[in-house]
Amino acid sequence: MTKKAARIYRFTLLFLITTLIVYAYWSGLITYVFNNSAKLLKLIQQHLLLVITSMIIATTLGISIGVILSRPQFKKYQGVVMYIVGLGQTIPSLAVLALAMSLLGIGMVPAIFALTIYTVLPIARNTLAGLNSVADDLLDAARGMGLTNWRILWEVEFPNALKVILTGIRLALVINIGTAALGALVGAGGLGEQIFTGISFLDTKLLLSGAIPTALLALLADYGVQILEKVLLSEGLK
Amino acid sequence: MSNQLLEITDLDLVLDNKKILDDLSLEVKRGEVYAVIGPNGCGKTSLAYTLMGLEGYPASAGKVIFKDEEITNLSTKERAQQGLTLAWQEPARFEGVSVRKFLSLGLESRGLEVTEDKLKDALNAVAISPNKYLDRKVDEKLSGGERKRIELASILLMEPNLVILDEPDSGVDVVALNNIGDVINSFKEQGTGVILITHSDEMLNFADEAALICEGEIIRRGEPQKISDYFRDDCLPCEDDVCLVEVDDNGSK
Repeated sequence: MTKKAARIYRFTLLFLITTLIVYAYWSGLITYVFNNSAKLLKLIQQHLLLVITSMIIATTLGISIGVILSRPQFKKYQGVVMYIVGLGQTIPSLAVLALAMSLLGIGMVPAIFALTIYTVLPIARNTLAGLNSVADDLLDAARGMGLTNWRILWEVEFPNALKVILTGIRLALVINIGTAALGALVGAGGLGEQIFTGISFLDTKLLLSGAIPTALLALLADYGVQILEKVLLSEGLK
Repeated sequence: MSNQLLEITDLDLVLDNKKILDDLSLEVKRGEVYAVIGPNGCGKTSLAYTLMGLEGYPASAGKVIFKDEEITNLSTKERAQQGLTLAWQEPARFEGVSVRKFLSLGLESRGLEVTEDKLKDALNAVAISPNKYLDRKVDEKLSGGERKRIELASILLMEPNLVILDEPDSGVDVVALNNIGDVINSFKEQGTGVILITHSDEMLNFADEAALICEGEIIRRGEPQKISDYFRDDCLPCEDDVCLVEVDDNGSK
């Protein structure tokens, strides 16, 4: 049922995008994109730079937090730390960005900082949930083989938690790509520039030349991580 | 090096205010196969878990001495590294880990060298074809019996000092049963002590000594066949239907 729902969802999205493209043609977007392709490519690059950098930091940080909190000696801090990490998401993204700007000025750095803060939660939360869900008897079996804690983490816990961790990363990535559009507000560039300029000038083709690639990037990323899941996950865990 | 391998003295295990193991004492020598029999729910597997030091099975009293050192307070991992291993009644599924990797992990954890020949020999010993299985994953696609035999192969490779076999015959076909017997014999030859938890008479043939557990207490010990006969013929179910009580020679309670 969920697979069917996902298919319908994806189909609807594709339909919407097709409609948008037809609309775009009508609004003169296609000609605009052809004439400004160099500029748009540069913005896409900036957008990707924001997303990739912040995702690398957030993933490293999130997985580390999850791993540390799942260790027996740190279990008691799970609640507190996850609450603090969660604050990053409770505060609206625009506010996080504004706070980052007040600390770090304008440019790429505050945008990356804000994006990292904003996306670390789903990754940390899912890493922790994934590791906590590993069956006790499996861990006992691994300990009974005399494996070191690192070995157990790497060979037993991670493979079993991977599905949940990857779901967290996928969620974080999609949120990140959307939120990165706000980066334009602090001078970090990216596709948000087109969107916000389009909004201020009430210019549909400008607006769409930023919005459509952002949406496509998010869909593509979502699909990419799903493929990664298929490749990485062990048969029995899919 | 004394011949004594494992010495359990007055071991108690209390879980949820229920006494699972009661004043249990038992000794296993090097190369000896010690069978533990008894009805379901009488503490055989709990004894195995307590000996392995699993979380949730802390001995509430008593002492366990292994290779002349007390291990009562050691963690599972430390016990395993000392050479104490358990073959689980239901071997866990190591998702994504290949049979080759699984066997290698065991060897590495004991600081032993990993060679292709060793892996193949061990699998052959449990009647598992190395060519077919080495690159398969230890997951749900393997049957319980296959996982059990692969686990046994892993333990054989780890050259433990003492191995607890928790019903090695359950879920395993008749052909493989003979192989399990062979494996038990190779443990004996290695000087490995074996605690054999079982229900089957065929397995008891491989034992040197046997103990009958009832409600967490050893009520009789001695020659395996005699203990088995006694268990079959002279025990009566207790009131709660999970255990037996000893009957005296006249057949009355």
